Amino acid sequence: MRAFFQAIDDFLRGRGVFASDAPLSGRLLWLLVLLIACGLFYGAVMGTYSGLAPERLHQLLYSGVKVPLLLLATFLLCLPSFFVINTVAGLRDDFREVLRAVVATQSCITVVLAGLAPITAFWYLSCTHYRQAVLFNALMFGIASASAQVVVRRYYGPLIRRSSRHRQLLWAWFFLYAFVGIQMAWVLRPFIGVPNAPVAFFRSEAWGNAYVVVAKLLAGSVTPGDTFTTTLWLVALSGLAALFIILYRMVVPRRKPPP
Amino acid sequence: MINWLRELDEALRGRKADPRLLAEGTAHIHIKPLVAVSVALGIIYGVFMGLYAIATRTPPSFVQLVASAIKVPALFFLTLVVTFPSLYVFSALLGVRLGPKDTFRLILVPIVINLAVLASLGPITGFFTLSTTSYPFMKLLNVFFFTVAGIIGLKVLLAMLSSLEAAQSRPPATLPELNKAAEAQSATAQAVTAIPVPRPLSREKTAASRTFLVWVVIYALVGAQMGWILRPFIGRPDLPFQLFRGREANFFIDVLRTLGQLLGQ
Repeated sequence: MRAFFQAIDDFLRGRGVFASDAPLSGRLLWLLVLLIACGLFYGAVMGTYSGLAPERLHQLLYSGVKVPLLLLATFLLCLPSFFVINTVAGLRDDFREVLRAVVATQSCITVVLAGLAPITAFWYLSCTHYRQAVLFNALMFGIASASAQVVVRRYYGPLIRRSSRHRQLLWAWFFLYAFVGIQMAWVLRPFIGVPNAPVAFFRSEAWGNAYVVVAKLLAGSVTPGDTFTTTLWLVALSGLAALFIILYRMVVPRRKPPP
Repeated sequence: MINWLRELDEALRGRKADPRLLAEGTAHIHIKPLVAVSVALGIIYGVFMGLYAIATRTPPSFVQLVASAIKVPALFFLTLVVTFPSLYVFSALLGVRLGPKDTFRLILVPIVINLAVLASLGPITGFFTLSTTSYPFMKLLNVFFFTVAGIIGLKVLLAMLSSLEAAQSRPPATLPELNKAAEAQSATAQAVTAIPVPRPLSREKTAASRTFLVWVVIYALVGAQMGWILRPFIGRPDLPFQLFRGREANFFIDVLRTLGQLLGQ
């Protein structure tokens, strides 16, 4: 337990095994441990919205499992193409470092989320609408992914200084990850759990495609009842993406043109 | 099998496009393993594409899965069969010094890389297939992935052509000399960026690159239409399985129509 908190501290400060110039061996395992543990913790807190009644307790477990599942499943789906594209771009020799950088980003998201968990719980105590809970969680995820840019900078900075192609590939990674992640988040709903509805791992009507819903929405062919929740999702997701990009631009400076 | 993977790995790492090797000809590009591995990669993506017919139909249509797995590699090689003769004839006519076998080897590498990128996108296609019922979306997603993979393949081809030109425009140098030159270059360039491979000189618009550029456009157009002729790859859920559909419209009209369907359904 002590080692675990020590690892979190080292990770946040970029010390010990997590220092950007430390040897890579052993880092990946710790990153995955942090990702799963902190993700589970935040997810469980996220699932407390519908109450702590004994018959609803498994909602906590479901929500808890879904947060690391969302990140890891998206990561694993995107990994093969990212690997091939890195190789084609001639950056295979750096791939071990790249892999740790992208895993570290995800671990950082969950660590920040775990730190924000008490605020979420506090918000739940003082909010009355399910929608407010959804929006607040979207905000928390936005803050967490924006803060994770610090880690992106720490681990990707040296790579970008070595070859500016890493910058383009990082963008490709963000794009791919967001593209798959949005659909993954859509498929894995509900994350929070509507209080009146029975607890379920998947929502029976939730299966479907986020982008098709977006297209329908753009074409105005959605029934009025759905429009509100869908717009909510859209606003939350696009806000997240915008925040992510803005912070990324702030954190990772453009390379000066060579004289 | 391991030999295939080694060839694939070398192609992906850009070793086949090394100007030092290209200066001595194209013999380092082995045709058989590369063809075999690209067929295998095509089959992998085809299986992910054909999953749709299994996920959306009751009973699941395994014939469509097999058909898709065969059609994806067939698409690439049939397109090559259609366009290769004209490439060879025109390049010979314009004075490119590559023989037919060299030309074939040269374009095989981008095709392998194209298929490798496509196959690596396969899991994402599979994930969307399993979570989506919308046929227009799947069609557009696949068109998008083929395009992305094609663009990466094209970039590789252009890089190979320019290193070929660099190799031909320079008197052949022995490897130790080149290494020394590279070291000297990197010592001065280290302050800016470290470039591991000596970059080819400026890309001259020679006969070779012009011919290949025109050919790439032809290849892409024929490929798109070949995909249309070989359809269905995914299989519209409300139509029964057919090996090929009838002759009708063309690829580009259908992409626009699909976009309309996705927005208007």
